[in-house]
Amino acid sequence: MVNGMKRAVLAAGVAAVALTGAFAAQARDILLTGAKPNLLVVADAKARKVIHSWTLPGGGSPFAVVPSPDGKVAYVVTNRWEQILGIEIDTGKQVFQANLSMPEKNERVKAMLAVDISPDGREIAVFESPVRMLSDHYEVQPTRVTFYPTNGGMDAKPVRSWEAPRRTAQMMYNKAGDKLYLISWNVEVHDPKTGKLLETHALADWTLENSTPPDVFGVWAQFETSGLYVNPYFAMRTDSAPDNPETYRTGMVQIDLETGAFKTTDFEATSGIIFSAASNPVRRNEAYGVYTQLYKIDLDKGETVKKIDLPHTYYTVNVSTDGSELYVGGTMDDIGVYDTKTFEKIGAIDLPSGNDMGTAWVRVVQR
Amino acid sequence: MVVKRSTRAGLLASAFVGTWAFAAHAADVPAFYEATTLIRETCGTCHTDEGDGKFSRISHMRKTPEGWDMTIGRMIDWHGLKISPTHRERIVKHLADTQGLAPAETAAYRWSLERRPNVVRPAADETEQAMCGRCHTLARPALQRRDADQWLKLVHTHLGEFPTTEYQAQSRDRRWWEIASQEMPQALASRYGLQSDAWDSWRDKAINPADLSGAWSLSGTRPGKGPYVGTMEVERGAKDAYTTRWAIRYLRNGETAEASGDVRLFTGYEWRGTSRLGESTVREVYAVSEDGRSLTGRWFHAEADELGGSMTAVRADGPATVLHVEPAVIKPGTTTRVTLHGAGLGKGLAFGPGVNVANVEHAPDGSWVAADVTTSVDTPAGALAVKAGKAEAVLAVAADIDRATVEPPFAIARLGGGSTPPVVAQFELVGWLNGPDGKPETDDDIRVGSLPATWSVDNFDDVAKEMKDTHFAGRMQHNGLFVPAATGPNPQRPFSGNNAGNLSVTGTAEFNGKPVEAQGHLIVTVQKWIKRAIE
Repeated sequence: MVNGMKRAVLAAGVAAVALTGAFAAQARDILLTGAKPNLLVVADAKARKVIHSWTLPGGGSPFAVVPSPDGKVAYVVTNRWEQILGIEIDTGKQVFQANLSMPEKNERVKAMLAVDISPDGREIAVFESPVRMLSDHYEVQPTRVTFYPTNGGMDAKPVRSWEAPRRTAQMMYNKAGDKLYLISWNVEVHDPKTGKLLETHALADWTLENSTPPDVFGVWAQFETSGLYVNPYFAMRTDSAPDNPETYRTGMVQIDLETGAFKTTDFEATSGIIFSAASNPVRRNEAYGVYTQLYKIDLDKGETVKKIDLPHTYYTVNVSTDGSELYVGGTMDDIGVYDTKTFEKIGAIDLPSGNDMGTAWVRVVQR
Repeated sequence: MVVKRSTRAGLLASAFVGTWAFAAHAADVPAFYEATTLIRETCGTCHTDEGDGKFSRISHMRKTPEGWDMTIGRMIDWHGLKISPTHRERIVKHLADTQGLAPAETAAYRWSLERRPNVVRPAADETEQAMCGRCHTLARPALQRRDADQWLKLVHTHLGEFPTTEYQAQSRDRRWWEIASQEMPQALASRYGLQSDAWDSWRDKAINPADLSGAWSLSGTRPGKGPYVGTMEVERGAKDAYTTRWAIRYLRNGETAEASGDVRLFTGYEWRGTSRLGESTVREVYAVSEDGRSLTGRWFHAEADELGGSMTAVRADGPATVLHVEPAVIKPGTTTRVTLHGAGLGKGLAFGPGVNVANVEHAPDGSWVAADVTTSVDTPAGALAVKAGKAEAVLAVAADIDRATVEPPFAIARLGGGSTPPVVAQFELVGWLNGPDGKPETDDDIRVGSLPATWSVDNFDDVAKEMKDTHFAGRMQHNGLFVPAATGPNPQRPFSGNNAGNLSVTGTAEFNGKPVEAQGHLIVTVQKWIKRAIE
């Protein structure tokens, strides 16, 4: 009997392992992006195919797309950046809505570029720019970070809010969920529960010798597969002549969302424009930059190791969970797929009806 | 007459800007509608009545007619204001007349109101350049007057409506909001404050202008076609409203065009007209002189304001005035028929010592006088001081011109695409004498006017050559008019780029059998998405 029980438990265990294995084998990368007019686009990365184009309510076009940690819901900033909508990826059903504006205070509120979800999936943190619309004039209000509970339903209300630096362009939680990084003139690290300023990493206020402050302005979140935030910066050497190409420097800001390590790495005399960057989850020293060209950057060595021309301008680049593929997008109506090692173009995902992505983020989730 | 009137009304009804929309509706305005009552009814829901005909915000700034009209446009676009074209015009007229800018305050910025293309002017300082000048021309802040509290409210409006402003280049590198809200209001108020002596001494004239009716003599240059002369009859209608009939003749090819139009006078001197010139609808932005006896400005095509002509006009019954001398330059040792165009011409023609004048003829109305002018081979190259009665003019004498320039030296053309029309670029080749000092580009240089030229474009540099910009960016036409291509994306270009280009422009002419050549620079770039009366 005991033995029988043991065998049964063992068998169940084996079955469970087998199931997990089977599940893992079937897990696939799903791409989430937005397109005009107000579409949430869901694509199967390996199949190179759009599987859903969900029409969102409202007349806007999506910008930020934030997947829930379980990959089931996409939170989309849209409708003139005044709403966050939560959409079930598989069904298109709307399960969440936060209207950022506060008519009772005459406040029109825009989500300004930076938004993320806590690792436990319970809260969305959004950077807001409010303005009071009074009878004959406007009153600009301090910018702030505001938290919405994801179980807030169709009329979610904020649970916390505090003033945050103006011109914050990106925001992300660390893996543990106890730090919120705000990329503004400098990088501020806030305690997402209390608003306490935990630390500041200098960018505009950096004291790097013989250099202007860096210009850091990528506004696309694409760190989810690697857990390493990378964003290009541009600076000028002050000890070198303006006509010397070496004067103009491109580097990468890096924040390890697991360890909190902050680093900036100069990797080239500026040879082109890079709009945004992402890093490889397997070879974490490897980062990719995108605009009209696709860059491969060795973050350890601080050098550009590969660069190819792209068919057209792309604003975003994201990396597959296994580190083998790049997805470039954010403009026009196609997502280009490139091999991370060779930079060979190995596929394309065309959006139906030629819908323009119009700067929307491209996110990767596993399902 | 009835038919003509309705045609004109139809034309004007399609105009969307209140400043131009007057004529079709002026007669409909009920006389009893006092402007302040209209403002109270139209604006009073949001703008507090402060008594004495004053309203919050509105009564604490001064603007040009275009400036006030743009304000109403914003109220419609941003705040859902519903207003008829008639009422819009009535309010613009009242505000421009009672809270306008004096002639001395707009003098340095006429290029903006006249929509002259490719004018580059530096801002007051680096901060104004970065804070205002990276989106606007200098004229945008300079053509409105406010005290610091109202400039501050305008700063709030900026970020309230355009929250991305503080993220853009030349914003995100600085504490934009702190500079905008703490430094700029005072800086702008000190430059462009509400109170001014110029306005204080003009404000009565703004509502009591001179009667402009009568006969006028006119002249100007339409780049691409050259100089023209003409006449205009102005007839007075309602207060500050006129109808015009005018006719011009291009001196280069004899082409003529007739026009009729409607004019409204704002602020006592701001002539805003709409005319049918030949087959085109043109707008007129002129500044009338304080005595009401002359005007200067520019007319331009309603659908393409980069195309148009300069205009100077004087009263036909006025004292002798020379508006144009044709030709602008004669050769030593030759006899040339020279015509002076203007008003009150006909008596006492003299071209200076050693120059013979014969066969003088003049128009009965005094609009021109012509003579055979003979110079000797010894007549020195330079400017002859011409006298026509009490009027003075200049005629250049030269065997060769010293140099030529392309105007504008740097131009921007815009690709067209979808519902956005292209912005063309019109070039002219202008001849110069170096003047008594013999040195180019000094104050004594003599401009001998535009030369009929042939035109070509080339790739400006190696990058343009590699990108085949001459092939993709558009076509140069025979008269110096560059017409840009349609926009992209163009799969035939690298990165499927649009049809932008970086081109050098060459104008070539002959002067006295010798070739003259000059270069300009043309950037062909993305569509002009937003067009404003004051950019």
